[in-house]
Amino acid sequence: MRNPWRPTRALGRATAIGVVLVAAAAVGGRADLAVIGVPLVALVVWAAATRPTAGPAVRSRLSAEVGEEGDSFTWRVDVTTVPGLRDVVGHLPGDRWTTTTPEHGHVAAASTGAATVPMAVQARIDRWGVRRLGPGQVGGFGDFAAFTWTWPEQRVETIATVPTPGVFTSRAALPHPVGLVGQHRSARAGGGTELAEIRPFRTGDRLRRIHWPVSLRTGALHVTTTYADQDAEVRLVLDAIRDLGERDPATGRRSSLDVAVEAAGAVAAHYLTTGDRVGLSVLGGAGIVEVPAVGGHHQLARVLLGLGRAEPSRGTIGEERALRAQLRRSIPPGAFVVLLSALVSAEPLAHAVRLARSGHAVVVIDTLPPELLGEQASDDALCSLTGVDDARLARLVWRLRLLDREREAHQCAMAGVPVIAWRGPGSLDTVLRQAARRSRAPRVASR
Amino acid sequence: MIRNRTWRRAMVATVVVADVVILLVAGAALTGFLPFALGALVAATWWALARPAGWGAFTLLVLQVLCATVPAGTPETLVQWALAAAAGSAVVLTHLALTLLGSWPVRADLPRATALRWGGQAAALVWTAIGAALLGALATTTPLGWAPWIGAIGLGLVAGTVWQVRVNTRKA
Repeated sequence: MRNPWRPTRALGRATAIGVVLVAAAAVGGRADLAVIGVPLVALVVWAAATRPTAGPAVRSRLSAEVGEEGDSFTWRVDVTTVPGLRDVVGHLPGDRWTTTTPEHGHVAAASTGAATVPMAVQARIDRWGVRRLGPGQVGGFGDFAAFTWTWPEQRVETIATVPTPGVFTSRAALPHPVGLVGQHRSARAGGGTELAEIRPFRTGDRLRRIHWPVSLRTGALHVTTTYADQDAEVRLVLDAIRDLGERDPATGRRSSLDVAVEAAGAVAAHYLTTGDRVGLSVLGGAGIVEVPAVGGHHQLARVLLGLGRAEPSRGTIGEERALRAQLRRSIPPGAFVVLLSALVSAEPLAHAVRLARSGHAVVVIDTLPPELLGEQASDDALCSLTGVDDARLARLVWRLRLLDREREAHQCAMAGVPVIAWRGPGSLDTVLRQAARRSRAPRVASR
Repeated sequence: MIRNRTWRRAMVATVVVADVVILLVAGAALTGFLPFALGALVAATWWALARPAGWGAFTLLVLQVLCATVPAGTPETLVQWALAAAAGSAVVLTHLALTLLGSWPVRADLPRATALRWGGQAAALVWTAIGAALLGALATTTPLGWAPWIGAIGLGLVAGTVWQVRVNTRKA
């Protein structure tokens, strides 16, 4: 096996000058040349005598693999000590949304005779999503940095950072509750808490349902009936195909994906607390992210973890196929579909319309940041959005795109899919009440 | 940990001080050589500090050796041997400083243990230069017939040093 340690240029320099000086001193009888050359030759001999021969093993790990926005992690690299290893240096950089300490990610440690030489950087995660730390580079030196070794791997460590959900509440009931337990009033009578009617007693009615005041007044037994309580399925569909706008913590600006993830987290948290089942589909570039609709406390963590894996599409053929496969997946009847989209990609909107036509209650939440809608959008942001270098042209292109977007949103609304802007608590109330009224209204049926 | 600015400044200062020592050695031998030595060393030092891992470091070392040895003859007095030892020390310290500057990451801090070890090793090499100068001085001030014995002492010292280094450092 080849020795992984390589001589450095410094060793070559010392060897060349030292040997030439000693040789010149011997040939020319100049002892002062030997006085200058001997320390350099001694350095070379020293370095060669202590030359490391075995390559150290490296272990790289993070203190946690999953965290929340703002959490701090330790990225630790342990290099096993081998004979002759003196110093270890490393570059452990963070990504754009990670703040490392030290900021530049350069760390160094000296071998002190322990079994391993540890190096570590602290990383604070500033944004949700899959954060990639690295590639980490590790190297080692022998005496006088005469021999060097480089870790052949360039390890990238990933942290799944779950987003912090926003705030959302809703007083409106979901339109089609179909489950067995929950807080939504069913259209059918059954065991529940909300009073439906008081009617004459029939065989099979429970005695504890007898309403005695009415029974005494009318002279015949009457019972109270209630509406059944049911739960509903809420399917969140996150359009992560494009991420528009820039996140800037200093100014509080957020991208469209930031808004969508915050809104999805808030909606999921709300409906899970009301006993409903919440599922998630992320349409984007991070492979297929599907969280089946389940209720319970742990489901919020699963949904947030799925949201944390949302990444904008890179436009590869594999992503296109994955998107088509996701859009073909069936959604259970009666599910309430919430599509969170910046409304700049056609496929999710077409999917929403298809779902509405198949009988689902569908709501589209517009997640385009407000600063990109008006004239206050900066030239840089518009150039970045449109890919046009000329600021005036970029503004014109974006204006045309917005007009197109308005038209598509209008077509959606005409197809029975309301499009609303995300405003936090109460955002969905109006459309949910309208959907409930529509479901109760008499329909014309063709015979 | 020694902050990166601190240790890098210390290394730059080491190179500059070594240049000054070389200029003093050259000036002591031949004053008229100083302007040429000064110009050459300033240019080479600037190049070496800008690219310590490149050819600039090699050029600076070669120029230091030339500036210290060209104007002087073979040392005969104790002062001349002392100047030769100073030149030898300056050259090896320049080499070590440029090696550290060239191999260590620019922004990384220097562990105190590393600094102590490099300091100790640099001191050992400086003592080697002084030892070589002392041997030379001994050879020039003693009868010619003693030369083989002084040579044997020198070789014995080198062999002993190598053996000690190997024994003491293989444990780590």
